[in-house]
Amino acid sequence: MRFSTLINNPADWMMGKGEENDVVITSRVRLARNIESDPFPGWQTAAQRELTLNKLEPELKAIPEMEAGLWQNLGDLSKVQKQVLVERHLISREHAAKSKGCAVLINKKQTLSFMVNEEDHMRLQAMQAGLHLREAYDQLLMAEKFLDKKLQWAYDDKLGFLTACPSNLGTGMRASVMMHLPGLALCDQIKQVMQGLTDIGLAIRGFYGEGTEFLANLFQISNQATLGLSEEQIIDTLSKTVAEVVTQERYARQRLIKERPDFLTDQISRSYGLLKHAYLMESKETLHHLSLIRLGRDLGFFPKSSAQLCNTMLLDMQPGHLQLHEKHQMDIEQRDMTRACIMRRMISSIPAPERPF
Amino acid sequence: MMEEKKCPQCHFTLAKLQDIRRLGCGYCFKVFADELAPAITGLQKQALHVGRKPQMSIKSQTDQLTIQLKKAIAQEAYEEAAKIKQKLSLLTEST
Repeated sequence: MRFSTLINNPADWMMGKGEENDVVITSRVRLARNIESDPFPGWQTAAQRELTLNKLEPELKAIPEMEAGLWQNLGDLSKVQKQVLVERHLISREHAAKSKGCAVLINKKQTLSFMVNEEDHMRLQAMQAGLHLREAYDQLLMAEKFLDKKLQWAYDDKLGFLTACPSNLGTGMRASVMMHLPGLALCDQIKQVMQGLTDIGLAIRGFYGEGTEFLANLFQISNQATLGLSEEQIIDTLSKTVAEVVTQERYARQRLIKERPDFLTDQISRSYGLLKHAYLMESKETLHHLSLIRLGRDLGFFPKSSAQLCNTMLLDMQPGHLQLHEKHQMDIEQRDMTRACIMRRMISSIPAPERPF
Repeated sequence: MMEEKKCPQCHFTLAKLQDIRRLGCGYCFKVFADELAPAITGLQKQALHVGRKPQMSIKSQTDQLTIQLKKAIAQEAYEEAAKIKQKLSLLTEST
């Protein structure tokens, strides 16, 4: 597979597939692994990094699920191309900052991406549309069992899999779910819910990951501890909690319909109007309106078929995708103009909102 | 002056840890075990791994136990041998 093929083919989650997809956009699981004898990437010389890469490359490519995937050295990608991979959640922001001696292997369906020489030698990630943490983990387990036979991981009976940062020790597993919670946000309950999640040891991150703002009512919820819990416990706790939040979000949406139907209709219609007619639109504002369009779709203001468009718009408005479409560097105002232009064009294929209640 | 503690495998030092908050290699966890303990307990649920084990590691453990078992039998330490056998069967079960 070539880079351009990957860009032109959307992954399942971008098509709006998956169970509970009105609230859960994606489920992701990642495992951190290191080769026993090699220094961690952050402490390696360039030559050592190349050696690690050379050890991993053939083993990763031999995994049956990765057949015909995209093997990409980061040194061969432009800044914009890397940004596009970040926006599609195929590499991390940390990984995008690297170049020579670092690589990524992505399978054809874009459900698996294996980062080489990120913070650890291996970051194996599986991504599924909707709420499917178990399936994502099973996919990883298959790949890991395959690698297990070939490679000797840095491992300790007491500390589990050894990772560059002690926050990833043990299972090396981070399971995370991207949730869209506009109902709870509009009902002013989001802070309460987030506090509850923090109290039971879960981490909440913004749309762009650690330390980022909560934009577009999108929240990434993940396990904090990786050591002292089994993989099953991590997945079960997160799945159960997320299912509860899904129920709360749906309840909040129903409450809005019952108690504040005009407010809700106004919010959704206003966002539709602005996306349809604005000439300049910055990223933050766009994300806000897209969240309401998505909510409108879930509540029946727009046809069900607009789900895919919601996800496409969410991706296409981001800096990397914008610049890839335009094929040149842009200043901020040019970006805001191009973004508004793309949004106007895309939203015109969604009919005007109709209040379903 | 005492010489600064260094990882013999990768030459990583404690000063570096404070600086970059990452370790140098897997062996560093043994070298700096005492210094790392509070951080690990603070970050994690408990400082004992209960998750999946790598298959290679299980294999090396089985190899080790098999050697011990042979030794015990040769020394006619049957009680000890029974214990090792039990450990071995537990290991093979978990794969």
